[in-house]
Amino acid sequence: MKQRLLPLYVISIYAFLHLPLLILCAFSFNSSRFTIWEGFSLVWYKAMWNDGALAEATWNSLLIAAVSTVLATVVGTLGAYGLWKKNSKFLSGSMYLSLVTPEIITGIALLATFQWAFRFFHLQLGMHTVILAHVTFSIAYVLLVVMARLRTADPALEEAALDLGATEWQAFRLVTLPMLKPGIAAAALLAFTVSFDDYVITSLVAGVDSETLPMMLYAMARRGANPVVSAISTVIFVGLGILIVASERLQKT
Amino acid sequence: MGDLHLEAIYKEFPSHRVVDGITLTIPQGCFYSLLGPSGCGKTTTLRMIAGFDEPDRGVIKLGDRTLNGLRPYERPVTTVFQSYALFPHLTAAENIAFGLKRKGDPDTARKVKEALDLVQLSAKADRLPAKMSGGERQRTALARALVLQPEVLLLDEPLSALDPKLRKQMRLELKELQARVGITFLFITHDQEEALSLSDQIAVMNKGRLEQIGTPQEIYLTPATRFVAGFLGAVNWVGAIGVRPELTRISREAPGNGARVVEATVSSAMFLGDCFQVETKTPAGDSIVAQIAHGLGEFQRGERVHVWWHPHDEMAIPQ
Repeated sequence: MKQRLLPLYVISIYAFLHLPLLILCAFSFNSSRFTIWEGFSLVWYKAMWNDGALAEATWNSLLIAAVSTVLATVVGTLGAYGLWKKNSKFLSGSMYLSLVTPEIITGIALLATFQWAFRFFHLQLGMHTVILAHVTFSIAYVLLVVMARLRTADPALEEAALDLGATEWQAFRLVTLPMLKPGIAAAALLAFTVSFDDYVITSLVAGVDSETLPMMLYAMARRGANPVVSAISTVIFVGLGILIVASERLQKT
Repeated sequence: MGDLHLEAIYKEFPSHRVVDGITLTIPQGCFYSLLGPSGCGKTTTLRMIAGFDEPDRGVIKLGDRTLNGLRPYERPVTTVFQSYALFPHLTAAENIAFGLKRKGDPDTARKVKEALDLVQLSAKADRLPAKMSGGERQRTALARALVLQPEVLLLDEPLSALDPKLRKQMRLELKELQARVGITFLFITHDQEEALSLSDQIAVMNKGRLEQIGTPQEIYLTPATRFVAGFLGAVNWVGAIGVRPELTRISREAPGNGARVVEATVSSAMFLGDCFQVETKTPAGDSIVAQIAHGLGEFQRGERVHVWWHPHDEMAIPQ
């Protein structure tokens, strides 16, 4: 009895988790625009490919994700290194705070900060504010992943490098950084995905020239079921899935 | 080149004073051990010589050069760490080459090869640390530190991570290696057997201070303090007189010829393989343990016996 129920239970859980996505994916290949199966077709993928506004939003998303990933990875890695050296529970603990802060609150706080700053600089909401916001929330993810790697590292490694004639900078560059490389790469992939995914914060701090793919998808979906949205979603889902798997692989090495 | 001098070294951490006024001279070319229980300040002493910590007061000198204030990479001293601290992304050969490359040594390739030969690791030159056995890691760490031809090699409990059998073998190798390279070895350990078997000289530390400095025989046979006597081996105390269990005898008849005798009752007798360990109680309440060879008879619990030893085996330590 137990032997037969367990597979059933597992299948139900996986269905509960993945069925909506599978349905979305299936209907992106439907030749009808309604939720009735009328035959296999790539028409929605073609429509997606030829949509200029969609291409621009995708480009924006990729650009924002790339720039904010580079910045967040550099800042986050140096931050993790500093926290590890300082070994302060309070400083490390407070980094987790930004992970549990609701996104909407982070977004409102960032918007308020930008509007306050605009009193001193003649700037407007746009690409740069989105990138800054993304750097802000990505840093915590980078810190988390790099710190995890550092925690398993032998603190004597840098001392050994100094002992063998390396300066502090050489010890960091030749020993600590190479040792952290897989962790840093995994952190960068994670930062890229959280940036590419983000809707709530982005929609608050974006300007007219900086509509991202999630923002556009949201607007399209609000107007009613649209198989083009399903098609894009499928592409994003598969793309990010590959990145996550790659990130996991890297963390294991 | 020259002797390593520590002159009145003090080091305090926020919680307590770790090194409390240490003065000692480590002769050039000597295998010197700092022996003491964990937390006695021996590792901190090593770290101050290596340059990872600076003493609050006192002078560290190598020959007539003062080492105080020099960064670790400016000191002619290298370290074998307790954890070995091998660089995980570099092979054995690359780990050994690390220090030579920092100095821009033109002869790096030949020296690395020689160092690998010295520790018999030539066949494992391209292994990463993760793929090495404990003994191989240990040898790599030794070669990496020795290849720079330091004036002093610091070894921080280098055998403690190995299993007991390998530890005994590496002990022998370490001793031979030191004799071959002729570099001063400063060996930090809490294992008295290790210190006794390896060292030319031993300094025993306790609570940040030196208890005694001497050769292994001097320290074992004529300890200066009760701490030293007890840390180096078991002791039977009869008032201010101490005597080692292996030098204590037991017999049913009273011994002659000037032996010190105490009458006692056997409270337990244990077979240890190479000897019997017999524990006795004196009427005064002192416990005296004797380790006796098989040929000297067996004793039963409750038996009245004479416990005795030769006066020249006594350790007289004022309390």
